[in-house]
Amino acid sequence: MDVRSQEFIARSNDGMADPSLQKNLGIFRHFSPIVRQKAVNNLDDFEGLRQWTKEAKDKTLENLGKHLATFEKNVIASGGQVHWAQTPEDANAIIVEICRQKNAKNIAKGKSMISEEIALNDALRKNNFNPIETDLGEYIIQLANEPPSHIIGPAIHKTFEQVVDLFQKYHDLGPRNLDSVKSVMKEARGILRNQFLSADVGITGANYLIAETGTVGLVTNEGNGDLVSTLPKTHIVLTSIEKVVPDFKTAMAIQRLLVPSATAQPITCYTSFFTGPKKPEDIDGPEEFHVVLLDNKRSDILHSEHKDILRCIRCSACLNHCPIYTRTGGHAYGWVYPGPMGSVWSPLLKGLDKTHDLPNACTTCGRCAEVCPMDIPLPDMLRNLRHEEQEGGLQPKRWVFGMKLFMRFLQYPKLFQFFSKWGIRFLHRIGKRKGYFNSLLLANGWTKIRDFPAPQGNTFFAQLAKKESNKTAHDKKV
Amino acid sequence: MDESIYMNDIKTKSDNNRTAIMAKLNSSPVAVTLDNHPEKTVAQIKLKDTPQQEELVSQFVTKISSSKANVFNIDSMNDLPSAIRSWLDDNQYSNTIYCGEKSSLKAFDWRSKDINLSTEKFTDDGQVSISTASCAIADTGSLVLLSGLENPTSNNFLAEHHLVILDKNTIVYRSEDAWAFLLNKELLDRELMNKKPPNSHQPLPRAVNFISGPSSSADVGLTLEYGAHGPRTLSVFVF
Repeated sequence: MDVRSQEFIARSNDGMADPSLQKNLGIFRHFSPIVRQKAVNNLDDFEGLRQWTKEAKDKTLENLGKHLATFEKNVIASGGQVHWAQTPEDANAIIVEICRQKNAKNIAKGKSMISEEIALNDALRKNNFNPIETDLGEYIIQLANEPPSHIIGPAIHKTFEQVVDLFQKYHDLGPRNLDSVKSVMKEARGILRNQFLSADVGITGANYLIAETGTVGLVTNEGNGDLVSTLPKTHIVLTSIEKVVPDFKTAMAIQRLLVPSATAQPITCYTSFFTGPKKPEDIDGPEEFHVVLLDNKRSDILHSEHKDILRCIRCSACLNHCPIYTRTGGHAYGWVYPGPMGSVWSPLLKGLDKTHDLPNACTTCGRCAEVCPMDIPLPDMLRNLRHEEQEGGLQPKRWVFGMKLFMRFLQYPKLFQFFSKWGIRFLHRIGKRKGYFNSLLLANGWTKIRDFPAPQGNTFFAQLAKKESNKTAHDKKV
Repeated sequence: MDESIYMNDIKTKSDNNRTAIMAKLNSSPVAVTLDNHPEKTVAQIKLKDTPQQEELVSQFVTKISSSKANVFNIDSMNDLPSAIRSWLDDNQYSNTIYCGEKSSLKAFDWRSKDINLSTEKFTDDGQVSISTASCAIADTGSLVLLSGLENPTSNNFLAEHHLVILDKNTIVYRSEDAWAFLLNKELLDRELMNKKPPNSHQPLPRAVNFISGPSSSADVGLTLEYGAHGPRTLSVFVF
């Protein structure tokens, strides 16, 4: 997927002017915090669990090489194969080659954000393969030819009517009644069932890579991940290196935090653990089991000041609680990962050049850090990225000029005090009658949607001096 | 188009990548593991005590029911065929139920209840399948099913109606307890009564499924509905 994050401001204005998107986001924004809090309250001790898991993950990352080696050894011991990819191109080449060797006519995909990150579908299509998304949300946006707008619910920006239109347009099934969510889902079930049954290769992501047994863990509510991993003759797991955990204990701790944070359920309908290809006692399962381990800058991030982001488990709690994301929608962010976590991942994976607006899309409200189950200090990380933006000379020229001027100003207190005193007096004079301005020269960005209050006439220091002199006079009297 | 995409030997490239990635990962300037760092302690989690078995059963039933699974209590395994007969009559589904080749359920008398228990593979929609859970998790309301000749994984997902048989003495509290059971490690909680001796499942079966409800999705118009791809209904018979 091409990066369009440099269009963030224009695209977020588009998003905010889109009535059906705003309707969906409004519902989402209202309910997400409520249901998540309920789910988290059911945990024994959210904060204790969060701290334990943060520490366990940090310890794992300190020894990532060792745990990856153990994971690889155990995957191979159970009959699977492990491939390593440094870059998106490497990963695509490996997967394309496996599909070619398997003569894959049909490819079924479970939801995988890594596959979006490396633009796998584009690479497959370029090589004349036809991957079909089986996650319902991913399937909907595949029909609409749009990128996902949320990392868990890729199609939350689509209304029911829009989905019906897509199905009517792209499913050659003649006239029929699609008047309820039930009927739409029934139709999708039928169409995608054929995909599962006829696929030669199934590609999924992974939520956990468990080193102690070489097991891949995957969570879904729909069951498509399981069908994609069980029915086709070849199963490819596309995943990134920071997902490895040493043991089931760590994986289960993360699981306990992941699902309540992501969908407000205690657990997803299906949590599945795959170890290698089919065994002699299986009548089903893949004959070949491949794990593609992607680095794509994680090994660099590990040695940088941004390494906390490697604890991210893709729950989307930060998105769901962000005042910016829940108003602009995910497409404004212009790439795979939106919201607070996306505003850290996008610059780290794609460079600040095109993505530097994203760390600025932040009110520093701190809700993201409060709800992050892995205790990632997102507001601090965004601030660090804004700092890098400034150091890299990426801020808009007018802004830099204005800030430099202001900085100069601040270096001469007497000058500052003079201008602010007379400026305040002037604004007070002309604004005295109404008490506010509904339009103000140079403050158009503010006054277009808000009133600007008129100052009451005196600077802070002037008032302070007056108070002090009154006090002294009073003391003298006494 | 990049010619390297047409390479035949992906193994060499993968090996080179592995070397490069490992070199970067092991090149950390701070080569001290947190395991032996004196100031680091693992944060303590305030865990609730493990409830008694009866309470575990009740918790399991409550949790899985709230995810819209149906739960039926039966006195013993012998009552299973008649319980399933009633369920089939209530719901007017077909008399054929699919199970694994080596399913222990084959031993029961299904014929007298006019039920055709079949070990054939099936792919068409609208079918009923039946599995036996290895154990269950009370904390999250999850059934634990293992792939193999007794319970082929595809039966768990291709059927429209999935029936699962569960021995209530195999209900454990947390998922960690389930893994201890499956990996034949010491059970994390020793106060569980009437436990079946843990089977050694090392190496693990190809697939371990935690199933916590019928298939669902809220992707269409933010509305929750069932039967996305997997079973539309899940019914648990607890004895």
